[in-house]
Amino acid sequence: MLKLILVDDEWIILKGLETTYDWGSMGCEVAGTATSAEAALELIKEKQPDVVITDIQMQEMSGLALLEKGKQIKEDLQFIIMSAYRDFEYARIACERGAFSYLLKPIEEEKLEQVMGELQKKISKETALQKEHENWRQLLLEENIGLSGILLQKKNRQLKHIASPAEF
Amino acid sequence: MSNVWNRISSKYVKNGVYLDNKGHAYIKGNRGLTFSWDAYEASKLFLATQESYGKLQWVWTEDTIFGTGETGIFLIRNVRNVDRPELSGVLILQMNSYLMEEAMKKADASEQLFYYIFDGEGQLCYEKGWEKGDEEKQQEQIKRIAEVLDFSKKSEIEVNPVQGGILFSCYEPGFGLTVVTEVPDNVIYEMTRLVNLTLLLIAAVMFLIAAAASLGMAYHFTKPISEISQTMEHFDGSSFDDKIKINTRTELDTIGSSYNSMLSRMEQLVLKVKEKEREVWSLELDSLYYQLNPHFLYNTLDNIYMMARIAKQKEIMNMIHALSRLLKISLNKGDGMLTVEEELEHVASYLEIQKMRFGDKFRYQVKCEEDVKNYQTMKLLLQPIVENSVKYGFAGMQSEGVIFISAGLQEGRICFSVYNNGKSIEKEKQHQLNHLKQMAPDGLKESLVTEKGGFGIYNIVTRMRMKYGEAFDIVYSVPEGGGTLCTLYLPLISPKKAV
Repeated sequence: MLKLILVDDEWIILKGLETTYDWGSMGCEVAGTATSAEAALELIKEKQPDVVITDIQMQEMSGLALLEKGKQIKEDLQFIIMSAYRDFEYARIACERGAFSYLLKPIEEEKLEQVMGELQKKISKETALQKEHENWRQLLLEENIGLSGILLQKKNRQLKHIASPAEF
Repeated sequence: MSNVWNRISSKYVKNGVYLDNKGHAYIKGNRGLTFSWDAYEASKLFLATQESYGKLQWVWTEDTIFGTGETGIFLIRNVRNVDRPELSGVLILQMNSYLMEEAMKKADASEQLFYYIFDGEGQLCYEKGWEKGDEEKQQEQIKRIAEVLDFSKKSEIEVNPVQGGILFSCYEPGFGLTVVTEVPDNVIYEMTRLVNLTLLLIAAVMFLIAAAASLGMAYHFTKPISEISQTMEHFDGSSFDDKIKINTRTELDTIGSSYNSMLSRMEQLVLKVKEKEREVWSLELDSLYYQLNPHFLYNTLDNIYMMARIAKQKEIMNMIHALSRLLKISLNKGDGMLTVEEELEHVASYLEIQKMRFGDKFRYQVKCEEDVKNYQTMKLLLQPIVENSVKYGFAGMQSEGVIFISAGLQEGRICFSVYNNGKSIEKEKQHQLNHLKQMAPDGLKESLVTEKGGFGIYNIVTRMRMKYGEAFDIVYSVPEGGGTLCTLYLPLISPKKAV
């Protein structure tokens, strides 16, 4: 289940997003909503979500600024930007800054599902990678496995805990 | 002696006598007249001879010597012998009045003048000009003349006024008589009448000239003044070009130029005011536009969509969504070009709304070939055509309408086709629409735009003309099976790189 934060300064849009889209079937769960970027940042600190879906144009802090600041709080935080009109320039900048995707309002289910599906894939891939990375780290740092042991693993393309050189 | 007398004509001489120094009197004619010596010596005649040596004297007196008793002219002369001192003789002639008449004949034929002959004593010898019957007047006038003139004065010619006229008197020294011509006033006036008339004429002409000159002068001033006042009156506040054009080289020019410059300043002011107004209007328009700011529209539509979605109102959601898509394409600022895909999306949104509005009167389908999707086309070309399909093609139909729109490449051109299965287009209209390209741009509007409509086709044809020149085509046809097919052919413009 992906944890989700919804951000839009127009409450009707926000309410609609929260209640009329089947987040469950997309493997998501709405952890919180915010009507401003500042409130969103607070939520991010508090809930540590996986995804933030935000409108790009809001009072005071824009969606792009939120993107930047949000990533500062949680590095792997994923952003999906919403906009009411085709503005490729914005999309480009958003993607440059690290947004995952760009959705046009009003949000269509298919599109949303598509994007969320891709996001899920990405996130699971990343988690898997992270886990592998973690295992490698553990292998290297915490257990006393000699270089030969690691070389062996590379040959087998497997991460295996080798208790002793004898096993090898 | 009688021989001598015979030589003297009796016409002029009535009687005559020659007195010699021996006391003889030789009388002419010898008609039995006796000569009275005593009478002679007592008479004026005798006196006259005493005064002259040998000169001929004219004397006017009563005849006392011949016994006629008539008053008349006597000619008397001493006859002298140069060898002898004493008088030889005296010649006396009593003249006929015929003499006078003859003399008078030569006078002015005009019957208005009066002629008098007076002797030295002021006695009237002869007169001419008075009518018989005016004796009293005559006597009075003669009295006046006698008062005025001095008959004894031995001057030549005199001019004297008298009551009723002017006297021209001439003393004839040879005759001792004064000839007086009386020119009555009316004759003088008669003479002066011509002069008066001429003077009058001249005066009249001068007056006319003066009048003309003064009018001319006045006009010289009144014309510019009236022009000034007319121009000023004429000014109605709208045209500032009506300037005063006068050149009188007077102060009026100053008035004219002052007015003109005032007019210019006014024009400037008016322009300034107009500009300010325009600015205000432009600002108003801006604020109006700001209200209609597309962003504002889109955001509002999104809210409505969400409200409908929350309320689970599928139809409202669909309609709003279609409208939203439609507006986002048509209000998109840019160079007026879209991809074929976007244009089709636009017309699909339009059709979606129309379908919802008219309760499934028709259904539609939009197809787009892959290879033409990204080519550039002019935006908002299909919607007017489709609108006509719905308006005219489906007129009278309540259901089963079909609209089929497709886009593809044909002979190196973009080909849009709009088909509806409703009423087929009339031959006349078809002909007109298929020959729109041949029509002159001005005639196009007139022929297409009627009260009923037609503005849509006029709009797209004109825009295509402006963008593509002659390189486009619009064809209306009736396919087998009925209905109406409209096909647009547009030239290819290389695709924009899609992001």
